Amino acid sequence: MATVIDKGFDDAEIINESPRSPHIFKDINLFFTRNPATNDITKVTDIQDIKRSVYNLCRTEFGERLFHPEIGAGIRPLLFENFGPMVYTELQERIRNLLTIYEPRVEVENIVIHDPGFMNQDNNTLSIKLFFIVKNIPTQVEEVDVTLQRVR
Amino acid sequence: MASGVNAKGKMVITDLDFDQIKTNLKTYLQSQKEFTDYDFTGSGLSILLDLLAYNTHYNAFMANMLANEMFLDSAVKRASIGSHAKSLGYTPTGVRAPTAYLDILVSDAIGASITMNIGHAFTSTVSGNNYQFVNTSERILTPTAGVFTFSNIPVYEGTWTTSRFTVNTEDVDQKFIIPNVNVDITTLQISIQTSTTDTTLTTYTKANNIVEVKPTTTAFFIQETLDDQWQIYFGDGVVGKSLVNGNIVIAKYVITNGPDANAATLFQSASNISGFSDITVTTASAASGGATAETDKSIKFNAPFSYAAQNRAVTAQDYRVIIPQLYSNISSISVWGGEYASPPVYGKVYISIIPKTGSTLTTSTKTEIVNLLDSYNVASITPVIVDAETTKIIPTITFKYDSSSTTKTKEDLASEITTKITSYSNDTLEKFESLFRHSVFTTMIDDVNPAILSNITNIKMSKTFTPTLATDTKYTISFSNALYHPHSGHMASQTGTTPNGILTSSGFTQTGKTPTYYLDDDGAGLVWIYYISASEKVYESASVGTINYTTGEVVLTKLDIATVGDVDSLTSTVIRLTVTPASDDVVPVRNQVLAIDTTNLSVTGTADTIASGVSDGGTNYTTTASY
Repeated sequence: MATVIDKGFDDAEIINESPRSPHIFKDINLFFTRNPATNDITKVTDIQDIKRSVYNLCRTEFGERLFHPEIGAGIRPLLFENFGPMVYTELQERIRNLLTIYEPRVEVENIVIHDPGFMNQDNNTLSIKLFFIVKNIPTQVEEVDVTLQRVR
Repeated sequence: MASGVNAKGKMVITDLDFDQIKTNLKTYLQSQKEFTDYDFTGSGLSILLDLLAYNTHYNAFMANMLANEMFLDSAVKRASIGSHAKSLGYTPTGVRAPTAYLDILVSDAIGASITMNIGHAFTSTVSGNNYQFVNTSERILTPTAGVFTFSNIPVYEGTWTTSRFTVNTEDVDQKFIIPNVNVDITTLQISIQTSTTDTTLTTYTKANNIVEVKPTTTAFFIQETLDDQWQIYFGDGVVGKSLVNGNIVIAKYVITNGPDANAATLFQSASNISGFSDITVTTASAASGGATAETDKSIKFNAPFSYAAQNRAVTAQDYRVIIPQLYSNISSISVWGGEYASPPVYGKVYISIIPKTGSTLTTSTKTEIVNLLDSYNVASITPVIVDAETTKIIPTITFKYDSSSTTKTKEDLASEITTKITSYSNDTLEKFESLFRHSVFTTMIDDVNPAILSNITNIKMSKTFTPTLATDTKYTISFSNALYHPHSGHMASQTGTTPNGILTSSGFTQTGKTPTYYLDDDGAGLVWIYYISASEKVYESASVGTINYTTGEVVLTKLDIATVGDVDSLTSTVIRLTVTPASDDVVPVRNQVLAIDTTNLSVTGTADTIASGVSDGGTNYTTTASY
């Protein structure tokens, strides 16, 4: 059985690096940081890797990916909508559809707007919390925060 | 073998498509274990692969396009095609203004002479739109027997325009570009004013051949720019006289609407001529010759031939290339040497032109083209322009269709077939050297609708001639295709009103005789004349001509025709001869053009009893005779 190691990364709690694991997800780190030991570019792996992927997809707008305008969540325009139940549902649906099609490694559990005090509504900010499970680790619910806010 | 890898296991690098390039990169990444997420859309690696594939796609497209544009055959951009054509010494024909020839009578004019100014305008209307035609040279007229008539004056549709450029020899990049794409460059007139203070004008003429241009020749050259405009340039003092600082280039030209005003027939003077207003304009020749700029396809076709012809009309192909440069209103052109004419005429070259607008060229246009060809002809060869002769093909089509696989009636299917045949005639036939191929034609009918199972198509050919009335005249009508003649005396003794042989004609009367006569043949090479009396043919005692089944030539030795009967129930001035060809494929030669006679086209459908599952289909199936 695969060993589960918690390395305490900011955006991942569980890292599976067992050499006995049938498949370990490994991706380039888009922060382009340097591995101090090898001086090579750092990698992101496993849960961290999947979370980055989910995050990347949610932040992708339609038309942003070259030659594939159909890929994207289209949630940024919702930032400037009058926020209400309709927009909330629309937002959930968009993210759920996107991940169903383009991220087969996860199963979405819940999508909530993380705004307990309803303080962000007038600041044109959306803080979205995604809860999902990675399909080969069904007991562990993972979480990704996506915050959209205006830049000026 | 994985996609994106060739037979030797190497990465494919010839793909241009973004997705294919990305697939190749992914295939490459399959062989390493450092990064595994290249297949997930949201992964960082996928984003990097997008950028790499985009960059590769971008560069590959650029390289491919550059390579394409480097050759005349594969170039797509007009500017590239024009540039390649220039290196072959070929100037594409630009927009041409419709030209009309007018006789202008100024009834109230008095004095020794009157002058029609350059740019004098005439107006006309075509399809409800008003157009202006202009005179492009100053014309001074002295009266003949007190009558002031400008005869056969060419006027061009468009606006007479002047552009001026001051020569600055210090500006090495100075170009003289006419600032409009719709300029008819055949109307271009260039004169050079010495300077702003010295208003002496020198006329420059367009140089067509560098051999004729000397250091002092006042010639200008012209070429198409990258923006489809025209650039005028001048000699360098060695080839053609050069310009000096301060010269003023004055370019006058017509900006036209192209072919829109072709066929304008009624004209009015827009203003007085020398102050006289009682002006009557008679059209000597309606407007024709207006055309859009030469297409890219045409330039690609003509430029290499033009280079091969070297500005000399020697072979028939040379004429085909040179004439469209001199006269652009050409839909199809055929050229043949007199030695191939029937009978041979040595020392002449025959040219037949189907114009884009109008059915035939006017006499003045023919003369103009022959005159323009003067500087290209081989001495002793005379070009002759003849009209196209149309031979009509009359198909009789019987088709079988599967009534169980369509909701359409046989009339609906027949109508679809007729529509298809009409467009086939317009698009494929009706130009020179366009053959009627029977198998292509029947396949086309089968393909009109999936329910059509087969067709039997028999054809006849017809041709018309205009008789000279009330005069004994010899007529020669050549079908130029062998005629059906399986044996001597074929169909020689038909009874009732059915004509003998394979020749039939429309009716006519002879001088001094009342009945309506018709022609047929006896299957033995003679043409006979008869009329119908009491539902029986009554032949005259002597034959009136011959029919050559091998050459397809019908000669009516002497016929004195008084009146011409109706053709297709319409009053006619021509007599129509109809024959059966020996071959179902019909070949047009020389100035012959084929067309389908859609008036007499017969299309009949019957439901196929076998295909539609009729109980006696396999036993009582009927077919149509092919002969």
